[in-house]
Amino acid sequence: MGGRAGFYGGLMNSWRAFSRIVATAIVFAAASALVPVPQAAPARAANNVANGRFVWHDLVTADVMKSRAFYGQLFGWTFEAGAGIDPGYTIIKHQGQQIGGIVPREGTNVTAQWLSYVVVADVDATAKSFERGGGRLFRGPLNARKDLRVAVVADAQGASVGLVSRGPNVRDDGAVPAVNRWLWVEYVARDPDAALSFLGESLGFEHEVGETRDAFTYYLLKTDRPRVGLFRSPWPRDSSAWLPYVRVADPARTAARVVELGGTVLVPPGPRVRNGSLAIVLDPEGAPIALQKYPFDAGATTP
Amino acid sequence: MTRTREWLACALIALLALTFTACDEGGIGMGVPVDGARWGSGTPGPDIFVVGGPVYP
Repeated sequence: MGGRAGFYGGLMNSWRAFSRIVATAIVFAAASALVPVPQAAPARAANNVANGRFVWHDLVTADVMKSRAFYGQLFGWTFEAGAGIDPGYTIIKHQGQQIGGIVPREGTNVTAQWLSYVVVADVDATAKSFERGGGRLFRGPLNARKDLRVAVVADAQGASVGLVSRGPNVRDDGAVPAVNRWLWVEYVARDPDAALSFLGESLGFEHEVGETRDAFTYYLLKTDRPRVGLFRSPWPRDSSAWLPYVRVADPARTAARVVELGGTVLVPPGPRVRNGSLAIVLDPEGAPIALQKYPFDAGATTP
Repeated sequence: MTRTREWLACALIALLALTFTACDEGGIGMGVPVDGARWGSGTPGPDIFVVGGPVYP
């Protein structure tokens, strides 16, 4: 009996200790999820990548599982639950490296879209410049991590973009990203002249004419090096938009796969679409994305 | 389990919780309007994408 009491007594002592440990773990887990987003002073961390570099992309979609299936099969991306400040956030990974996220949005009139994040020197000041320029501040500025300041804004032409104070912990050595990684970003402009002026003032981009053909001009926006392309939108949309690019090995084959997976080809690859090196597609939820072979033979596009 | 071991276990769990949180680079999903016009489904014209494209050093 004494042995049994001792057994139960020891068990109960261990159970109390275990309970205290579990309680501590829960408290710290909750605190870790909630507390590391202090809303006080803006973080001004030293950037480990250059200003003007796009470092993250979030897919905003009403059907996360459908999007996961599509992008997983198309690019081999994998997914895991993220500890974001929004519930239900999903991290996108490629070959083990985090490259973006998926944000669930409820609603019946949700048009999926990619939201790209650009590194700026001062998120707060840049967000204010968007507001002064006739744009809108959708969220933030706030600290998503202890040294990661973020805001989501749109300019006067309606193009939504994320502003971040730093990039992920990857080298910014100018190397061409691997196949199935983010390659490039373009600003599809309703009013190119106004966009060039505003993006120069707000994001610090200098611009030059990259190439021109007939009435079409392609601008390069640069900080330390070319970071963005810009051209007049050929689509009848009321707003401008940022268009993210993924590097692919074979745009025609990837575009065909998009259709098999329920997406739509917006611009099919062809001889006069950068010599067959580009396709622009919509994912099954309507989010546009460009598929670009790189490097590509631009010389062959001469008429 | 002694009190010391119990506190050590608590501290270890707390450290692990903080470490896993700090390792997460993502999680900056943000609110953005999603009721905008859908992109068209037609081709924009034969010459629009003749030039331009990504530039790397």
